[in-house]
Amino acid sequence: MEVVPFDVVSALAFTAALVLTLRLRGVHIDATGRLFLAIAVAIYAFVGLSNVLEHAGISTVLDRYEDYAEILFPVVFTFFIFAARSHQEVEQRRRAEAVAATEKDRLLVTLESITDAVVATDVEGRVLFYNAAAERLLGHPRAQAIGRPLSTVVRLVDERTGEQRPDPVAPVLSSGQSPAVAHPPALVGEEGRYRIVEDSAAPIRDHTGALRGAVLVLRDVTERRSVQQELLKVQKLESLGVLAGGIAHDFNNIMTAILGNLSLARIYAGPTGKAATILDQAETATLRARDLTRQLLTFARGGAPVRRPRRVGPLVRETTTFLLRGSRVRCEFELPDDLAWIEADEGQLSQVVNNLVINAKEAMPTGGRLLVQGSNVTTVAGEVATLAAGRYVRLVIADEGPGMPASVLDRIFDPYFTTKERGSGLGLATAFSIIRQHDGYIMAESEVGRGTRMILYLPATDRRPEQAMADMAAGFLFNGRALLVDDEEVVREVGSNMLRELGLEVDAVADGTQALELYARAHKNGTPHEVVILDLTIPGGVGAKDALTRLRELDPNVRAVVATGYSSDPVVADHEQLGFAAVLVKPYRLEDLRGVLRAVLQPSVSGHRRVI
Amino acid sequence: VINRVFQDSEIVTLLFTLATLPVLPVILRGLQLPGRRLFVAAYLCMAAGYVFTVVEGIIWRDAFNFVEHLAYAASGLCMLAGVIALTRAERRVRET
Repeated sequence: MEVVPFDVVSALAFTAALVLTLRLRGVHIDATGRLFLAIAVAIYAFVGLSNVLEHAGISTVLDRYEDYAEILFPVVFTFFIFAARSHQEVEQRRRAEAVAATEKDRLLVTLESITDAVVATDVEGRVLFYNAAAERLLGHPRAQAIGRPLSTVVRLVDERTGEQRPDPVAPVLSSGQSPAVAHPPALVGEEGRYRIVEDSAAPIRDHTGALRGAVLVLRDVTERRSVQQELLKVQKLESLGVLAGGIAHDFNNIMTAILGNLSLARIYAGPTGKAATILDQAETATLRARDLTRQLLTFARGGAPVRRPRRVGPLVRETTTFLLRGSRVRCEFELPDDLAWIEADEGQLSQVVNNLVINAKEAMPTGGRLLVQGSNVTTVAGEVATLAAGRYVRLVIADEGPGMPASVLDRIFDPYFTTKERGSGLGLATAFSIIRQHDGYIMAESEVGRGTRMILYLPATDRRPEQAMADMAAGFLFNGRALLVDDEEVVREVGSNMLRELGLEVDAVADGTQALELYARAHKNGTPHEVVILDLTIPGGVGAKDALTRLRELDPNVRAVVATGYSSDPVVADHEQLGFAAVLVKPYRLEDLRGVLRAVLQPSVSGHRRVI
Repeated sequence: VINRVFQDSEIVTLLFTLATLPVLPVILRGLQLPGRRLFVAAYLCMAAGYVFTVVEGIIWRDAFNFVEHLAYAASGLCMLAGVIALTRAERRVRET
């Protein structure tokens, strides 16, 4: 049988395979494998060609070597397979190593990216790994830390006792277990620049479970602690504020009676004489008591600020200049003209500046420099403690006094904490409360021997003030009837007397229900009340807000004044929006009442006359 | 007698081939070479050809000679297919 076609096919197939083999690039087989494959294929390309030539009757030199070549084929082919296998194993190992290297890189990058300090040690407790956060927190460069015993790199100091804590990793290495109980936070870093950290240590084991070392993670909780303390401070102030506010509310009613009666007594006693002098002194003392009560109320959240757009620079400058007049303290102002406007209660803000400047002045009894700086800043959330992101006016009041140690600095905003012999301990607590109610922030920086810097942030505004109300003119009397509503009998009595003194006929009642009946009856009889003075809070009765709503149903043109000494209610700040014509702050003097009535009644009451 | 019926080289080649046959499965285990089965088929065809070339000296010379050359041709085609598979796999890897 003729077999030439098979030999031709064989020769062509092996030759083509040889060509393709020579073009392989070595992805799946290396150079050795390709060589063996090429030889194996070439052998049969050669044998096939030899057979074809033989069938063609051409005897060539190839015939002589054909048999030897065939012998080689199985061996060469086996080598090819073996080489391919070896190459595959090498590649697999290389890939595994590459994967391991990538994994290691990823782990390294992850550990480097962690914001917690991570320190790994061997079983001897020597540092093997030390991430970037550890460098920042512990202060040792990595090159210096690696290889050193952990106890020389990480020194944890007990927050309470100030003593150095034992090596946190040693028990882990000796027991092979993580500590069952978490340690309380500790301090790390250099003295004066301590950071508060929480530490946790754990053993490192290999895949067989053998202990290979330990890892220590230190989390910097300084900022978190600061915020927690801030919140604690706020909560403490709030709870104290509720108490103080309640006391001040009752106290104000008593003060209203005292101050009102003193005002009246001064009129009856005449402007001169012993009685007038005594009454003047009594009134001065009472006014001081009133200021103290107001300060207490302000601190107690009770003093919701009546915020108006204003420029902070002139206010700070005037208050500071006034307070330092005649003292040895030299004041330097750095208050640029383009300082942003703020929305603030002028009285309250003035009180803050007052407290801060007095503290600074008292810190420099032999004189010194007081620097008052103002600047416009834009903060991002978290940049300044609990302050929200936004535009602020930053005020700095810096003195050159003796400064404070950290133990004092931590407590200066606590109510009733004072370092002065005769201090009330309310000044900075009040300042803190006022600034917080203005959505601002106050902080202090101080070092012993390097003075104190009080830093205030107050939200900037684009609003501008409305036309200011004209000052109340003194000495006006009024005609008509007034309705006074207050649950406190003494307040009703003294209030009635003062209203009568101002020329008004007075109806005084204890709650809103009676007031409504009386107002309706007078309205019906053609002798309406020109003004209604409503107490903001009447326990168990109809309060000012509800009473006004019902009064407006009876008479849309009713002129109502809200009286309060405890102004936590938004009614005080928003009295105009709620329909009240004015606010009368308790305790009040005759002049205060006159000023309020002047603002409320002047446009509509005819026939008022000046007191001679 | 043997020398007259078979060539020495054919016997040696067959012995080499038979010797490698137990080794090959061991090496091939786990091998993920593209066209691996085609290469093995080519080798087995070639081994069959060696057997046939010996057998043709004993019995049915023409028939076994025919299948011998047929086996070589099949081996060549399998080898070519194997190399093509390898080439294609290599191209795919390069493209990705």
